[in-house]
Amino acid sequence: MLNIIVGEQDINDGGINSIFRANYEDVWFDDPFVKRIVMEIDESEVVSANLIISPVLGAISSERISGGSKVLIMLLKEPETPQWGSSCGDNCMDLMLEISKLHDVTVKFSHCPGYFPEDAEARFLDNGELVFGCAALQLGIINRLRPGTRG
Amino acid sequence: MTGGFKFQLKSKRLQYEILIKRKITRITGESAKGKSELVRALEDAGNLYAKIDIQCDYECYVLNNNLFKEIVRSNINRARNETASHGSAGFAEKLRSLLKQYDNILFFADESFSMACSDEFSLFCKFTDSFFVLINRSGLPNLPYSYTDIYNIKTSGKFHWIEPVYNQENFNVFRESATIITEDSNSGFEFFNRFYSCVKPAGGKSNIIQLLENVTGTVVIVADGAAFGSEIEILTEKIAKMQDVVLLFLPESFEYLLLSSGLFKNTEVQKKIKEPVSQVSGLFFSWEQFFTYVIKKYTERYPCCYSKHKLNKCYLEDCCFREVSVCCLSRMTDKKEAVLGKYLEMGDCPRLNIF
Repeated sequence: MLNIIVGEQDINDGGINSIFRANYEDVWFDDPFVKRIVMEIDESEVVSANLIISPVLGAISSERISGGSKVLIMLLKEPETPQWGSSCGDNCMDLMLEISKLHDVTVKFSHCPGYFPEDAEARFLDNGELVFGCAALQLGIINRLRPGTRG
Repeated sequence: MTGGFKFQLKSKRLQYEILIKRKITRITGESAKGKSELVRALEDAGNLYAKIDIQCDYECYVLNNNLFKEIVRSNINRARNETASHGSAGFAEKLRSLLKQYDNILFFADESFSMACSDEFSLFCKFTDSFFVLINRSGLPNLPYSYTDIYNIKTSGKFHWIEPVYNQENFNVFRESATIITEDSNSGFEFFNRFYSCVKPAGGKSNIIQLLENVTGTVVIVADGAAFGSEIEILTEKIAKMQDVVLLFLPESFEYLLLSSGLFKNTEVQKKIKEPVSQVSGLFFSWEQFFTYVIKKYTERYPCCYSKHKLNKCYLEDCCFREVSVCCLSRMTDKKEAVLGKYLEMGDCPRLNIF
């Protein structure tokens, strides 16, 4: 399940680089799903945690992959830790929902993504509201970013 | 510091080119397009041996939480402690004098700068004559930036550039046969309320969505485009899901509408509004503030002196028969036509393609 918190960015949000650097494990990059994340988002091939081939940056370590990929990998490997979803572009949402079908994950959004998959299902943690589909998810986020709206 | 300058960064693997127009530029978009790499490369550029070439008329710095906390402690909190009222002219003067040292800089910050939404950062932006490039998907509601300066970053190999997310042409049409929602009940509301029968003030741009839910039929939302950046994404997503036709009319500001209407014949005024990029200093928080300053300064000695809070009847009624020498306005009878004529679209119009 994708559990969602909505709110403006605060001091603890946006730190995926630090979070990832402090917590990732080399063995994660042997996981085919992790390799798929890096390939689909960064268009880069994972050889190992310390060798990823980027078409633009060349040979890089895992610390140089995009913030969106790092958030997805953290959700996959440490699902109990909430992540800031506004580090993820719209191109991450398919994989985010796929991960949420494997584990319960918690994501905070400070923006309204322009896309969710149509079979998306999520729960807003402030009131337990369960929503289905892209439009309902977006409206739920908009309502909470601008309190007072009914949706 | 004024806009209209280029920022270029070149290294062996990366190349960026960004045209900076206004005080605040926001970059958003998909993951892995090189947004954070730009900031990383800027930080690395401090080392000469990295051979990262930066071409820019101004010094470029990266803002991070630690640096900014020190700025807050040494300057903003100091001004707060030394001034009785934080809304007073004395506080503004004190803060400006303390933050002057940060003038003439192009600051970059990505999402790891988590204080971008803070009041302190808003004060820092406001009281420094500097420009800011903010890489963040959050709308940044504490900052008045233009919807025209929200960009996606595009990439082709090592080359990166930015493209605007919103096409200004889509927001330059005003439809008469509509309920009108204005941002607030100031001069813009007074103007529209004079000429149209159904005008509702939202009481602030962040309340527009809430008011939108309480009206039916065709709606035109009139707001100051120069400061609407924080609302446009949410509003366009909301509008896309509504059954009713909702149009967004986003001129720079109401003051810009008046200044560009033909009411003002002074060539100096016309130059300022025709080429604002090179006219608006970083001490204006937004172009809306700049246009307000221009119209107030130009009209202050005349009977048509402008006030944001109470619209002078000279902008509503047919011109009187004062001597030309005591009035700075062009003599016009139909003020509505003068101000809105070039934006009007009559009758039915197709639903806006706002993407």
